[in-house]
Formats: sequence, structure tokens, C-alpha cells
Amino acid sequence: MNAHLFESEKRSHRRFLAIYLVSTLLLIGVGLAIFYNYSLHRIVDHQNETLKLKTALIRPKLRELHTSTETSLVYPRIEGIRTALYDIDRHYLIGDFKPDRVVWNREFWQEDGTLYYRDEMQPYYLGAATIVSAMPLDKTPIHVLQTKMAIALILAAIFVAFIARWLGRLFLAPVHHTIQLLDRFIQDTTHELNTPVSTVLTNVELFRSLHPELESSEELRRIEIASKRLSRLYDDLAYLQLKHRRRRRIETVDFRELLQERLAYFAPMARRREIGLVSEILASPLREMDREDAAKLIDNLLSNAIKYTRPGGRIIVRLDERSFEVEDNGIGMDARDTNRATERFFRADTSVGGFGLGLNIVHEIVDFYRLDFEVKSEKGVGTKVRIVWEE
Amino acid sequence: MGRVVLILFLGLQCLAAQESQVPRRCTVCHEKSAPPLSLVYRRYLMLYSSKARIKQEMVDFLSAPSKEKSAMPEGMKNRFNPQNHPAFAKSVAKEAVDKLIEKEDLIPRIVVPKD
Repeated sequence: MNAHLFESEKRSHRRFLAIYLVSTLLLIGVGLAIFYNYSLHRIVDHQNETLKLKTALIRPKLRELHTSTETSLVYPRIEGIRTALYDIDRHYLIGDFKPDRVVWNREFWQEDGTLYYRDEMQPYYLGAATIVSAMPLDKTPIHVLQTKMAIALILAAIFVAFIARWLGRLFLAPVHHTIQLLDRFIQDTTHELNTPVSTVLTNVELFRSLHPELESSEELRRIEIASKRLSRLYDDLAYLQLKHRRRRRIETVDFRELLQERLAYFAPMARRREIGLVSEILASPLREMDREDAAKLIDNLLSNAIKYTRPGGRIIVRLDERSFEVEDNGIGMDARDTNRATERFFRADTSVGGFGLGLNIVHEIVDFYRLDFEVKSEKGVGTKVRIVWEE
Repeated sequence: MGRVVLILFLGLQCLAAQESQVPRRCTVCHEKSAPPLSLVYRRYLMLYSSKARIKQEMVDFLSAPSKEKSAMPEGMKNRFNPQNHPAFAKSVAKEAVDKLIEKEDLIPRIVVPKD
């Protein structure tokens, strides 16, 4: 699969990776936690068993003491553990330690890093009915286990990441292929569109010069408007396809002059739709831009405004030293649509023509020149797009 | 003077006899013909564990001795006939048992070696 992914594919890929990684690591985490718990119990059980075996060693020694006729007796000590004796009424008798607390209903318990064992005796040598023994919990095997678990988790994460990447690419391959086909189709169509559109536009101009009496012909104007729409569509598609390969020629652009030129270009279209096109040009800012980018910026904002304004509506175009603004009283958008307005192929109203490229192109240009870009819209009230040049 | 000395001597003898009355009564037999008291105590200790329970069992036996109430092994029972053991009033038996326990207790004799 080609390393180059489309933006939508990258987004899908990232989502897939996130979902796959989180769910798989969660599953592995739960598995490791269960295993850790089981292993921890085994370690503690093993040490409990050792404590139990050592405790058993005291019984014959207690028996010896019980039967001894010596006047002085020595309490037997077992290496590694401490013991305490209790009578049948749970009174402490003697021992080499005295536990703070005895859990009488449990055989083994653990407190403050110490393992305890309670063993019943019968017969009661020295009167001892219960032996309570204690031994510090050896934490070394637990630390070894924790280290192993951490390594296992890291290795699992790396492995899962590789698998996720491979699976993601594998799953995206058919989609990528389809998108590539579609992209190639658009490229071919765009290429094929150029010649006929140019031909129509040139011939309209030629026809006008040859037949001045038809200058005000409604049919001719319709052909011209339709051709211009096709021409802009071609421009937009070509711009998006070539945006990474196109070389920009940054020059000083007189924004006022360019805006007036583009307003003149769109005027027939607005007139035809009975939309008032009002311009409030207060300054003649000079901007360092590629002229085509500047034209695209204006064209797309004007085109969108005309497209989404109902007949009888109005569009106000404002230009001052720092900002350029297009405001209409068209159909507007709700907050959710406003947030998505700059996505490619997004259309606020699918009943209106277009491909949803306009604001996406504007966004690309604004991003490139690092301009402030703001879209304010209210459904049924209108939309205002404002572009601000930084100081 | 001699009379005074005799009275004092007899009085002290009488007091001494009062203090050690129960143990002496016990030791009369238990040092000669019956099993030694230390052995009897260890037997009860091994079977009943706590002082309270030992006392209860011993007093129970001493107030109405019988073969069934004796905690001694069968061989000893057959040999020494516990039903022939003299019976004592409960108060006397309790006092005697207290003294026996105090005397024969093993725990105070055990030394716990230091670390």
C-alpha cells in the first residue's frame, strides 16, 4: 500500500489505531492483572506453606518441655519465624513475640508485610491450644514478578502497535484503492473539462465581438454564466489537486483592485439571481500573496455567498486595511454545520449546486498565509466570513 | 514462762497447719502411694489447657471422686482406684487446686532466650 494516505484515510487510520490499541491493551492489561494476582497468591501461598512447615517443628519441642523434670526450661526458637502460645480460652501464655492481633477465624493472614499462621494443637502441651507464628514476607519474588510484568506489558504494547499498524493498512487498502480510482477519475475529468470550457468561454467572447447586436442577449448571458461556473469548478478541482505541486509566485497584490475585478466578474451572476451585491471598500491594502491564491480566496467567498443567498437577498463585501469580510443574509448554518463548514465536500444545503470545495480551499489558503479566519453563522439569518491579516 | 512458750508453740503449729492443710492432705498420699501431683497437674494441663478449665475439672473430681471424672490414664485408674480418693467440700477443693496450680504452673519456669 502506498505510503501516501489521503487526509480522510489518515483520520480513519488514526481512529482505528486508537480504538485497536486501547481495546487490545485494555484486554492485555486485564489478562496481566489476573495473572499478576494469581502469581502473587502463589508466591504468598508458597511462603505461607514454609511458615506452616517451620511452625510444625515446635510441636515436638513443646512436648519435650511439657514432660521435662528440669526446674528451668528454655522456650524453643525456630529459625526464621517467631511463635506465640495461647491456651484454649485464647489467653496469651508465652512466646518469643506477642502479636498485636490474632485473627481467630483464619488460618493465614497478612499484616504490615508480615505473614501470620494460626495452628491448633492437640494435646495441649504446656497448656497451649493454639500456636501463632509469624514471618516477614519476602518481597524479592514479588519485585521480580513486577519487573517481569512491566517488561511483558511494554513488549505487548510494542507488538500490538506493530499489529495495529499492519492491520490498519490492510483494512484501509481497499478503501485507499477506491479513493485512488476516484481521485484519478476526478483528475481525468478535470483535465478533460479544461478544453471544452475554455472553448465555450472563448467562443462566447468571439461571438459577442462578431455580433454586437446580441450583446444584451439573455441566452448568451446564460451560456456565459454557466461556462464561468464550469470554469470555476475546474479551477477549484485543479487547485486542490495541484496544491502540493503548484509553485506560488508571491508578489505584492493590490487587494482593492483585485476585489473590484472579482466583484465585476460575479456581478452578472448576482444580478441574475436578484441578489444585491454591496461593497464597502475603505482601504487599498497591499498584500504579499500569490495572485491566484488571493483571487481564489475572494472568488470562493463570493461564490458561496451568492449560492446560499435567496433571490432578493443581499451580500455585503467589506475591505479595510486589516480585514476582508463577506456577509450575506442567506440560509445560514447551525453551530454543528458551522464547525464542519471548512471540511472538503461539505455542503450546507445539498439542494444547491456545487461540490463543497469553496470553504475548504479558503481554509487551505488561510492556513498557508497564517491569516485569522472566522465563520459566524446562524440558521435562517445568514453567514459572515471574516479574514484578518495579522499586524 | 514454760507454759507461755508451749502455748505460743502450739498456736504457731496450729496456724501452720491451717495454711498448708490442703496440700499436706494431698501430698500425704500423692508423694508416696498415689501419682505425684506434678504428674497429675501436667496430665490435666495437657487435656484441658487453661487454668480455669483445669480448676473446674479438678474441683469437680475432688468434690465427688469417681473413675469417670478422673482424667488420669486408664492404667492409673485401675491401679489407684480414684473412687477411693477422699471427697472434699468444694471450697476446700478450690483452695487446694489453686495452690496446686500456683505451685506446678510450668509457664513461669520457662525462659525465653533473647535474640
